[in-house]
Amino acid sequence: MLSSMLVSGLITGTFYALMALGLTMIFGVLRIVNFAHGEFYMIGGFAYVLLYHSLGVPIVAALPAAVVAGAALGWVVERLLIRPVYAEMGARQQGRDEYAIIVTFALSILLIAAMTKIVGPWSLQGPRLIDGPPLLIAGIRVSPHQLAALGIALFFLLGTLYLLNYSLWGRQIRAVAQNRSAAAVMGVDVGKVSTIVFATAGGLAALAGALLSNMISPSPDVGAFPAIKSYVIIVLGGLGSPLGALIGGLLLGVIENLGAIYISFSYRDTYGLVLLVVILLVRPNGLFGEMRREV
Amino acid sequence: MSDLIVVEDLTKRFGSLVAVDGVSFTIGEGELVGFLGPNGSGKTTVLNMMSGLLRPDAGRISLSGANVGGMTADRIARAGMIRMFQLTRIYPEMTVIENLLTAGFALGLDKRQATERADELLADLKILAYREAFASDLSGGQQKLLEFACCFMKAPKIALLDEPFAAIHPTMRQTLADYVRGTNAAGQAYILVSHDMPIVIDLCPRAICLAAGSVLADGPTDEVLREPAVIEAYLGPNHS
Amino acid sequence: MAARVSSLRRPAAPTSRTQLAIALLMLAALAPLPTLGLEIYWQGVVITSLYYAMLATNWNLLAGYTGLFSLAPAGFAMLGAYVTALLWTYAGVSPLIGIPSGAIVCAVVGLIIGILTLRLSGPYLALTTLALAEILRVIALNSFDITRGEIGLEVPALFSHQSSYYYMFIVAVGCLLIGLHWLLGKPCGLYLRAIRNDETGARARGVRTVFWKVFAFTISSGFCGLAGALFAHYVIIVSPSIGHLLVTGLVMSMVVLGGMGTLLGPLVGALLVNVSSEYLRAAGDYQHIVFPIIVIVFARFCREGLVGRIAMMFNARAGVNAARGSRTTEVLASS
Ligand SMILES: Nc1ncnc2c1ncn2[C@@H]1O[C@H](COP(=O)(O)OP(=O)(O)OP(=O)(O)O)[C@@H](O)[C@H]1O
Ligand SMILES: [Mg+2]
Repeated sequence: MLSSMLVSGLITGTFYALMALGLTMIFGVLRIVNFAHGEFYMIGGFAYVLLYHSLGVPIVAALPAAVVAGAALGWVVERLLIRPVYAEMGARQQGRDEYAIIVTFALSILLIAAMTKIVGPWSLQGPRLIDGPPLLIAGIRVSPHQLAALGIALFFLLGTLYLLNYSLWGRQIRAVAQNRSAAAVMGVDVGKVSTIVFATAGGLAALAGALLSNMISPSPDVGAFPAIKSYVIIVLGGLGSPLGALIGGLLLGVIENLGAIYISFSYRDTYGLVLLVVILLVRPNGLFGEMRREV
Repeated sequence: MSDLIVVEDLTKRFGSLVAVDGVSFTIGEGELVGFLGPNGSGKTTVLNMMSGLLRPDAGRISLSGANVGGMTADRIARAGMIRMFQLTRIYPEMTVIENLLTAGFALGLDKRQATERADELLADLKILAYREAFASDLSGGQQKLLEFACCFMKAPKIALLDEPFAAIHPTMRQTLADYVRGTNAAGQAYILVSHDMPIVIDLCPRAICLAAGSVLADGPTDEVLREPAVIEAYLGPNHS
Repeated sequence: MAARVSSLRRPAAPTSRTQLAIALLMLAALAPLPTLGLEIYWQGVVITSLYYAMLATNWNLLAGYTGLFSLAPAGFAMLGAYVTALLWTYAGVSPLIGIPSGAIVCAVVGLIIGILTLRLSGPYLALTTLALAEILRVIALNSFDITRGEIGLEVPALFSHQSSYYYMFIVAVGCLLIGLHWLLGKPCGLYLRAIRNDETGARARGVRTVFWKVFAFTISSGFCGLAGALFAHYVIIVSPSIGHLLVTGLVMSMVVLGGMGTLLGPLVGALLVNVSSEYLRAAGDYQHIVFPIIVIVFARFCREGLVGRIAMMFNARAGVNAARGSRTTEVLASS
C-alpha cells in the first residue's frame, strides 16, 4: 500500500514537475511569475481533446499539435505582452512586477472565459494514448495509457533538463538567468531567449494538459489547481531553479498521495498550501534557491 | 580618537567569486575616509554589507561598539549609519519634499522638525526651487543631490556615500563637496567611494584602497596614492 | 521655476483632497436615488458596486499605494462571510458580533500570511494568496457537512428593506475612503508609497519596510473580510462563489481601469465595471472577456487609469502655473 502510494505520488509528481519546470524557467530569465500558466495547461488539454473528437485527428498528431498550440500561445504572449514592457521598464523591477502580475492574471481569466464561450463550461474527456488491459508492475496496477503518458512526460522532462545543461541553447538560457545584462553584453540575444523560454514553458504545460486529459477531463478552469501546485513547487524548489522544479514536483506528488491516505482524500489539494507555509517558515529560498542579487 | 566603525575580516562570496576577502578597517569619530579601488574591487559590496542590505559570509561590523551584524538595514539606518547608492535610489513618483519628509519621519523627526530640516537642506544644496516637483522630473544630477539630502535629514553617525560625484556637473559637484567638507569640519564622519582622484585628495585626509576584494593600502591619502601596489592596481602591472 | 513642468509623466497626487471630495460627492449623489424611485433591481446593482468598491479600495491600498499584489481580495471576503455565517449557524451568534468577527479573523489570517511572505522580496505574496484563495474555496466546497458546499449557508438579513442596505453600503464606502485618506496623510502614507517606489531605498533610509507592508496587508485583509461579511447579510446566502478568482479579476479591473494609487479610482472603476457588467451579462456573459482585455490594454498603455489620467491633465496645467511662479501643492493633505 505504502509503496504503491509512493509510486503513484512520483507519477503525479512527474506531471507537476513538467508544469513547474516551465514556470521556473520563465522566472529564471524574466523574473516574473506567469499567472496564466494553468491556462497553457488547459489549452493543451482542449487542443488534444477537440482535435481528436471534433476533427478526428489521430492521437499521434493530436498530441504534438497540443504541444505546438501551447508553445505558440507562449510565444505570442511573450512577444505581444511581455517583451515590449521589458524593454520599456528597464531596470525598474517594481513596475515590471506590477505589470506582469496584472497582465498574466488578466490573461488567465480571459483565456478561461474565452474557452467557456467557445466550448462551454463542461469538461471533455480525452482519448487514451494506448488501449489495453491494465498491467501489474511490481504489484501496482497501471494501464498502458498511464504508462505511455508517464513515459512521454519523463522523456520531455529529462530532455528539457538535459538540453538546459548541455546544449548551447541551455547555456544561453542559464546565462540570461544568471545576469541578464551581462549575457546581453556577451552577445546572447536576450529577447530571443525569453521568447524561447516562454514557448517552451507553454509547450510543456500544454503537454501535461494533453497527457492528463484522460484522467482529468479538461474544462475551462481545469488549469487552476495544476497552476497553484506549480507555484508551490517553484517556491519549494527555489524560484528559478530547474532542478528544484523536478525535485519539488516529485516531492509534492508524494506528499499529496501520502496525505490522501493518512489524512483525508478530499482535502488532498490543500496539502500544497501547508507545504508552502512550511517552506516559507523554514527555508524561504527553497531547496535549491540562491540569494538573489539585491542592490 | 575613539572607534566609530570597526570592520573585521569581512568576507562575501558570490558563487565562486570572492567579492570581498577578509577586509578589516576602523574609522574614528568625525573621520572622512576615501574608499578607492578599481571597478569590481568590492567597494559597493562592502557598503552593502555595512548597511545591512547584504549578509556577510564572515566577519564583524560594529557601530559605536554595537554589533550591527544581525540588524536589518532599516535598523542600521536608524542607528545612525546611512548610505547613498551608486545607482540613485529616490522615490520617483513622490515630490522632492515628500522624499525628504519620508526620510525624516523614518528617522524619528516630527512634522515641524522634518519640514524645517528639509528646507534647510534644499537651500544648502541649491535645489529649493524644485521642492514641489516630482522626483522623476529632476535631472540625474539633481536626483543625486536629492538622495544625498535624504541621508542628512537627521545627522547620521556616519554616511556611506557610493560615488556621489559620478555623472554630475562640476558646479553641483562643488556644492556637494563643500557640503561634505563643511559638515565634516563640524564632526560628521564619512566614507566616500569615488573614482575622482582630485576630489578624494582634496577632501579626504585618509584613504583605503581595495583591490580584488582585499585592502591593499590604508593610510594618509597621499601616501596611499604613492604606494606602488595601488598604482599597479589602477594602471595595470606593466606600468612604470 | 519647477523642473520640466510640462512633463505628462507627472503622477496624480495620491492623497488629493479633491479626489476625496469628488468621491464623497458621488456617494452623496447616489444616496437619494432610492427615494427618487430607483428600481429595486438597480438598487441591487449599486449595492453590489459599492461592495466591490470596498474590495477595490482595499486592493488599491496594497497594489496602488504599497506595491503589493494580493490575489485574495475575494478569498478574504469569502472568509469573512463564512465566519459570520458559521457563527450564526452553529452558535446562534448575532450578525452584530459575527460581522466584526469576520473582519478580525481575516485580519489575523492576513497578519500571518504577511509575516510569512513579506519578509522576503519576490512574488511570494501573490503566489501564497492565490493558493490560499483557491484552497479556502475548495475547503468550503468540500466540507459539505459543515458548509453545505455549493448550496451555501443561510444567514439572517440585517434590514427588511433593500434601501437600508443601500444606505449602509454608501456609509461603509464613505467611511473607508475617509479613513484611507486620513491614513495616507500620516507618515505611514509616505512610507507605503516609498515602499512602492523603491523598497530597497526606503529600507536603507530607515523605513521599517517589513512592518509597514505587513500592516498594510493586515488592514486590507481585515477590511475585505468586513466587506464580505456585510455583503453576506445582504445576499443572505454564503456560498463559495463569493471567493471565486473571477471576482478578484473584476476587482483588479476596477482598480486598473479607475486608476491605481488614486483615492477616487477604485470607486469610479467599481461603478463603471459593475454597471456595465450588467449589460455585458445580459448580452451573453461577456464581462469576463471584455474586462481582462481592458485591463491588459490599460496596464500597457494607460498605467495611471482614468482618474490618474485626468488628474495628470489637471496637474500638468497646475504645473504650468507653477512655472510662472506660484504653486502650492498638498504635501500632506490631512495637515
Ligand atoms: N549580488 C551580486 N551577485 C553576484 N556578483 C556580485 C554581486 N554584487 C557584486 N558582485 C560582483 O562582486 C564584485 C565586486 O563588486 P562591487 O560592486 O562591490 O565593485 P565596486 O568596487 O563597487 O566596483 P565599481 O567601482 O565598478 O562600482 C564584482 O565582480 C561584481 O560583479
Ligand atoms: Mg560600486
